[in-house]
Amino acid sequence: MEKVLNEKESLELITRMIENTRKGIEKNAARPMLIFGYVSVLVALVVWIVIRQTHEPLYNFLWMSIPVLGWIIYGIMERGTTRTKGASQSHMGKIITRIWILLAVAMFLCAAAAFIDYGFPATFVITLLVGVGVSTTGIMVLYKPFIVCGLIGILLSFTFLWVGGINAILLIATAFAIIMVVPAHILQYAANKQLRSNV
Amino acid sequence: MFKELDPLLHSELRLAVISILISLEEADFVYLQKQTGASPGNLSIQLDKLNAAGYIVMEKTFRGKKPRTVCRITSGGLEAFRSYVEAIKGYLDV
Repeated sequence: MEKVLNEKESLELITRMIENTRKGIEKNAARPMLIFGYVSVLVALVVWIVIRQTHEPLYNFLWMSIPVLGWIIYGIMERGTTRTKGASQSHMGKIITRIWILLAVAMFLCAAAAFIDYGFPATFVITLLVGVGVSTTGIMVLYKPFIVCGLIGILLSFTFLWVGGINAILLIATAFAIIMVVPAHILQYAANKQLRSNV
Repeated sequence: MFKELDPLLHSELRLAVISILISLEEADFVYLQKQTGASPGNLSIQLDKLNAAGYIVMEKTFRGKKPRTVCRITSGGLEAFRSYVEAIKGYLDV
């Protein structure tokens, strides 16, 4: 049955649908940040604990589990969401994904370089890249907490030029919590609240 | 003189679908159904009408063994939506 609207209702419907879709895009931007943020913090803590207990630097290879675990968890969650809520792809979301793939490749190369040359400041460069990525995402979705936390990450990354050894691992966990987990939770909370109020 | 409103868009469900698709590159049937709260049968009929008018394109694919319909707005659909919003603004004197 077709329901014909009056002009005012039409405009309200257009506004509501565009706003809901925009909030959905924002919420989608938070999910990968939450997953990779938590996985990074967790892996950093595991690496810190095992190296502290064993003094075996080979456990640094555990860092490589971040993209693997992150993509597996993200894939499982996305599949569940697609089944129940359907799938959509925004122009913005596609560009953000491409930027993060590019950054992920750069981070992987940095990690690989650090295994070849121990002097390579991988923690500095990787944290800097993540900070830039989060800020860029924030600029694109016009979300201030991402921009601010990304900038904090950029500033924090420089401390890795002076802090080394096992303490740097704890700093990595803290940095990833500030750069990724905190703003993603703020965004998800705000998006959920907005979507509930629009129902 | 008021512009005539496009009758194809001046319907709740079709207008909702087009309003969603202008912000997205693509959306599947389940997503549109959840966003609009429409029944599958009604949504399917309205999507066919928009498709027949050239406002959207529908691509039928498979995800695993399940069929999946992906919708995208066309340049004609964008233009129709733009004209519709302009006409509405005229009516409401916005």
